[in-house]
This record gives sequence, structure tokens and C-alpha cells, in this order.
Amino acid sequence: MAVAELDRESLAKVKEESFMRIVWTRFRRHKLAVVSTFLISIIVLACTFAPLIAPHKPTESLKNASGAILKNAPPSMNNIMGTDAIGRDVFSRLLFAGRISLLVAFVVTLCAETAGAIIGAVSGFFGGWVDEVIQRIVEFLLTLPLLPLLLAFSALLRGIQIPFLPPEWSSAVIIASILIIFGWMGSSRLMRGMVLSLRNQDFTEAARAMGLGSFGIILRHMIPNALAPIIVSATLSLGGVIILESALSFLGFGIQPPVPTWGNMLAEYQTDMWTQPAKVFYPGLAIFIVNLSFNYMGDALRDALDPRLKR
Amino acid sequence: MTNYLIRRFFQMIIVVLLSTVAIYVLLNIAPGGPLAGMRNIGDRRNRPSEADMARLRAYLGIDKPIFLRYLTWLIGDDWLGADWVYVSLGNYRSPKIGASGVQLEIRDPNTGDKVPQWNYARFWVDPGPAILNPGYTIWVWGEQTASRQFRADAIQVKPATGTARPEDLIAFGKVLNVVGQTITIEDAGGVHSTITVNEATRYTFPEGEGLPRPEGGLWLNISGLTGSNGLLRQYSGFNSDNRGILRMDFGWSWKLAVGQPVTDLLKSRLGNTLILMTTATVVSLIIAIPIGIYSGVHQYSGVDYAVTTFAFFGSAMPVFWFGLMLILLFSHGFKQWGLPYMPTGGTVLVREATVGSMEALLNVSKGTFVDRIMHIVLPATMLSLLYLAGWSRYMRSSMLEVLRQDYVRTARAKGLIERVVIIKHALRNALIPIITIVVFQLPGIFGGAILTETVFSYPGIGRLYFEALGQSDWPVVMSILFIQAILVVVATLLGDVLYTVVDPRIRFK
Repeated sequence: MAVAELDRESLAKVKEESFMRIVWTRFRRHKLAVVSTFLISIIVLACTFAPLIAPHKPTESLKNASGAILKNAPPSMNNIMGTDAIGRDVFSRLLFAGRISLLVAFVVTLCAETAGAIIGAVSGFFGGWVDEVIQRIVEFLLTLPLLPLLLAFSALLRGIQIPFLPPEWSSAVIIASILIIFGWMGSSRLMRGMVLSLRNQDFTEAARAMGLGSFGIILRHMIPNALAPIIVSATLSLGGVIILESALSFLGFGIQPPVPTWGNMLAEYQTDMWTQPAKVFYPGLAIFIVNLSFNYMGDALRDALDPRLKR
Repeated sequence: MTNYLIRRFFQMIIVVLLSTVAIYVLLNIAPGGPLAGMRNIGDRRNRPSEADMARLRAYLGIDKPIFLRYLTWLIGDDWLGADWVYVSLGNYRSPKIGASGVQLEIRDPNTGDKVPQWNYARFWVDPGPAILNPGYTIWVWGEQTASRQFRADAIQVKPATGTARPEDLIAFGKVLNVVGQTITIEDAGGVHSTITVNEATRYTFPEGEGLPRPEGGLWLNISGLTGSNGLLRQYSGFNSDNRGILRMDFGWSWKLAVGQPVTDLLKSRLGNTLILMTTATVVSLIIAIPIGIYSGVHQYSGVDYAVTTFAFFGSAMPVFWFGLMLILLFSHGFKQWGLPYMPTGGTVLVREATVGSMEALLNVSKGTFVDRIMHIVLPATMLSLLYLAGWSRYMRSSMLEVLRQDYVRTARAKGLIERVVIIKHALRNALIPIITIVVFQLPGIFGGAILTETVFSYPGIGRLYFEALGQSDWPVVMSILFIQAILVVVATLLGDVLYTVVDPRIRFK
């Protein structure tokens, strides 16, 4: 049983050292967060593999046996959420819409948090006029009313066609860019605060004494040390981005049909809300569940990653 | 403190100007715009020609270069043809919005006709008769209303150099005093007369140089800009009655209500927005503060869990979807099930209530106060949920924070009963951060809730903004953003100042 012993030995070692394991143990204590993670995983997988899972094409108008378009069909085995006004399968559209909504949320969060972290780290590390200028810009951007501005920007830019992209994808890229431009401030503030407190610690001095340059210190020491709160804020902002994107799309200033998102599905189905109430329910419910789950996960992560809590 | 406020004041001006520059430039250089697609109208008879388009562009003022458009949007364009401007804040009289500004023009001394000439002065702000200093000799055109009483259409200050007196004058003399809209003058024989002026009275000054200057203001020679060698020489013909947003002239709507002053549009929507937003704000504060306090004091109790869960759900809910669900349930669903149903949108009933609706049940007739209330219930509920979720959480954590403080422990150690500790010691301190919330609602109360107003087709400022954006009605969009930007910076400052007032531990650096 040499193998088993070795295993136990290495396991014990891992348990002692692995930060991830501690985090996971703490994370698991938050029951709702575990359920949320499970739900999110299912939704993300379902949306990612939408082409395999979805029973129909999202843009295909279904026809019945006699060849007429299947408009506003009630839920059935074939269309579990029914079809919409031009005969498209609502469930399939929901999956494909989720792909876009989630993809936009992940990309925007990743870019905005990374950019914010780097800008914040630079601002906090160098101080002086660099910090002054960056902080004034952050304050300026934070003062502006967000939704009116997003709407204005989207109204301006949505007509632009991005070269080398299928035309219907342009609006998605533009909306994502706008959300990134107005989304990095939070994490930059977080990062700046962390860096300001880390800057005077001994290990920074040591790194400098060993000849590491400023950017080296930022990349090698500051960012990894300040990563935990950034991860939490990223998780929480995922939900926020989904809401914002869907709000823009709902108002018609976001990602344009025929590319489906949960937001523009809501807007589309709002028009026949009186005859087909159930269809308005699904996309909103999807947004709600995803957002709620991200919030719970962020909440649990915050507790789990808090270095002050030991166990 | 004074230094701090002065510095903040200038910072505020810079922030507002920067944001307006950014938005104005973006709106104006972006593709599309108000005239987009007009050249592509399918029916040839309706399609405007290139000349028509040029006229339209000139009509909207978008033929000017962008920097000039921004400048005239900001401070108006009536100064573009002038060599002198009189800048005075001390005499500032709030001009009537939409009415044309008071202009100074030179009348030909011989004929009395208005002469378009380069070398004349105009008021930049409209100072009214207060600009006439005692001691000036003035010429008055107008009509006599009674013995020694005149109503002035135009007043000109007598030029310093000896110009012959025009013959069509009704009165002339030395100004004795100016009280409100009445000027008392004295003629050479020592006889006093009263001159009444009104908004339409035009004041004419002789050339700016070498003139007894009006007090309390500043004459600026801008002929370097607008003169024959000036930078803006070629645009001097663009001057009109536009007085710019800094002088409360918001321009007129391009698309939503063509030619109507933006101020009228804002006025027609502002009341609705104020009612909706104030209701939602007050209702949610009244609910959020007590439940926040309770769940903070009784942390980890059943109620606390319920409140926290509710807050979590509320903040994760997409508001527009929640609004749609409200409509589905209380309007659509109730109607289906034969229950008294709620109105789905608007501010008042268009025609008398239909049988079966909540309004018919309560016997509400259209246009009454109760009718308005009925229409606000659903949108206010939707907004309140959003605010409630955030604010109750905020109140709870603020309470938790305060309860950990030493002074609360001291109060308990003194043997005070728990209720006194909480109400007198903890609550008053826990409410301090709530001030920020209330103050930051200020821009929102003006700007309305875009999503809520859209879902419930509620004619408020938020929806106006949304509609104006969709139709490229830039003057409306810019006006709303401008007012909102000002409110945001004012609210920020107000929040900071109030903080120091209620919490003496905080000091400005």
C-alpha cells in the first residue's frame, strides 16, 4: 500500500499549503453560493453548447405540418417555451441569447477589471501627479450619471460598422467597449487602495533592493497580493454588467436584433405581452437568476478570500 | 472652509464644462444626427435637394464649425456681431426664457432708423434699466401715457460727442434715479418726468470707448475676435437671438416638438417626474430606515435574514422586468381574473374609467388627484423596490458599524436601557451616511427613471431624454444632461458639506 501512503502524505502537505483549498472549504459553507455556482455552471454550459442543446435554430421560423408558420405556439414537447410572433422557438433563442449576454458580461468584466487593476496599481504606486490626474479622471467619470451616458454613447456609436466583423456583431462589440470604458473605475479604486497599503511593506523594499523595476514590482508583487478583492468585485460586477447590457438592449440602444440577448428578447416580447405573457417572463427570469447567483457567489468569495478570517 | 468651498466651486465648474464639451462634441460629430436619412427618402417629390439640406443645416445651426457651435450653445450667439460686450452679474435680471434678449443697437441720429453697423455695443447679459446710471442724458422713444409720464420703446444714451438731437423723441433729460421699471428724468428746465420701461424696451449705447461706463459691470472689447481682423470675423453673420444655456436659453427642440423651446418641454414633464421620484424616494426611505435599523439591531434574527434576502433579491432583479411583471399581474392578470385592475401607463385616464378597473371601483373620475395617484402606484412600486433593496442594506450595515463603537458600549455600561442606547446614541450616528443617499437622489429626482418611465409610458424627464436620444434631438438631450451634471456636482458638494455639519469629526483639508 505504498501508493496509498504516498497519497495521504502528499494530500496532507497540500492541505497545509494550498490556499485554494482553504478558500474552497470556506466557500462551501455558504450554501446559497454553492447552489448558485451549480446553477451558473449549468446555465453557462447550456449556453456555451447551445448549438448542440437547442432543439431549433434561433433564427428559424418553424412551420407546422401544413407548411404554415407556427406563430405564437403554446408550449409543447417540441417547443417547451412555445414560439414567438414569427415562429421562432423561444427556448432556443433563450439559449443563444444567453451566449451573447454571458459572453459580453465575461469579456467586459475581464477587460474592465484588468484595466482598472492596472490603472489603479500605477496610480497608487507612482503617486504624485500621475495619481492626481488618474484620480481626477476617476472622480469625473464616477460623477456622471451612468445610464443616460451609456444611452448617449450607444446612440452615437451604434451606427458604426466595425471592419472584418459580421455586420450583426458590430453592435455587440461596440456595446461591450462602452461598458468597458465606463466600468473600470471601481476596480481601479480598489487596487489603488491596496497598493497604497502594500507600497510601504517590507517585501516591496526587498524587491526594490533586489533590483526589480517599478512595473516588475507592480506585476510580480502588487497585483497578485491585491487580487482577492478584485476577484470579488469582478464576480459582483458580472451581474451588474448583465443588467446594464440588458437594460440598454431593452431600451433598444444595446445589442441589436437579430443577434439575440436576454435584454432585446425582453424588448421584443414586450410588444405582445398582452397575448403572450409567459414569453416576457423567461428572459427576465434568466437575467434575474444569473445576477442573483453572481451576487451570492461574490458574497461567499468575499468571506472566503478575507485573510482576516482564518478557518 | 471658505477656501475649500471656493476651490470646490471652481472644480465643479470645470467638471461640468468638461462633461458638456465631451458630450456636445460627441453628439455633434457622430454619424447620423437629426437630418440622417432625409436624402434617402424614397419618394422623389419629398426628397429634399442639396440646397434644401443646406438650408435645414443653417436653420438648425449645424453648419457652423463645432467649436463655435459649442460656444454659442454655451453663451449664445448675440455677441458675434458686436465689438463690445457688457458683462455684469451684479445687475443680472433673470431674463424671460424664450423671449428675445435685450439688444443695444445704434439708431441713426438723423433718421431714427436702426442701423446695422459694426461699432456698437450690446449687453451680454440683460441688465435692464439698472444700467442707466444717474447723470446720464437719455433720449427716449415711445409714447406718452399721461402728463409727464412716458412708456419707452427705446432708450438711447446721448453720445458724448455733440450729435444733433433726433426729432422724433418723446422725452429727453438727465437720469435722476431708476427704481424697478421706472426711470425718473429731469429736463433742462428742472421738470421731472417718469419713464416706464418693460421687457421689450431696447437700450442703445453709443460706442463703448470714451463713454461714461455703467457701474457694477465690465465692458469687454471683443473686437479682436469679431472685428474685421478677428478670429471669428467670418462668423459674425451667425448672430441671432440665441442667448446660450448659461443665460438660461435652452434652445428649441429639433425633432420632438419642432421649434418649441426646450424649456416648455422640460416644464411639461418635470412635474410628473418630481411627483413620481419624490413618492418613490419618500416611500422607500420610510420603509428602508426602520427595517434597516431593525435588522441591524437584531442581526442574524429571522427578520434580519428575511430583510437581507429581500434586499439581495431586489438588487438582483432587473427593474424593467419587475415592472413588466407588475403590469402583467396587476393590470393584465387582474383583468383576466375579473379583479379590479390597475392602469398600465400614463399619468391620468384618457377617458372615464372602464367598468372593472380599480378606478371604476373607487369611482375615480379622470384628471383628478386620486387618478394621478392611481397611475403612480405601479411605477412607484417598481422604483421603491430598487431603492429599498439598496437602502435597507445600507442602513443595516451602518447600524452594525455604529453598534460596534465604544460610545455605544459606554452608553450601555452607564446602564441606559437598550431602547435609549439605540435611539439616542446609535441611530443618530447611523443616520449620518444616509444623508449621502438622500442628497444623491437629487439629480435622480430631476432626471427621472429612464427604465421605469419607459416601461410604464410615464411622460417624465427620463422618457423625454430617451425619446430625444432616439430622434437625435440634441438640444433636448444636452439640456437634460447639462442640468443633471450641475445637479450631480452640487449634490456631491452638498453631501460633503452636510457630512461635516452632522459629524464634527470630519474636517476639510
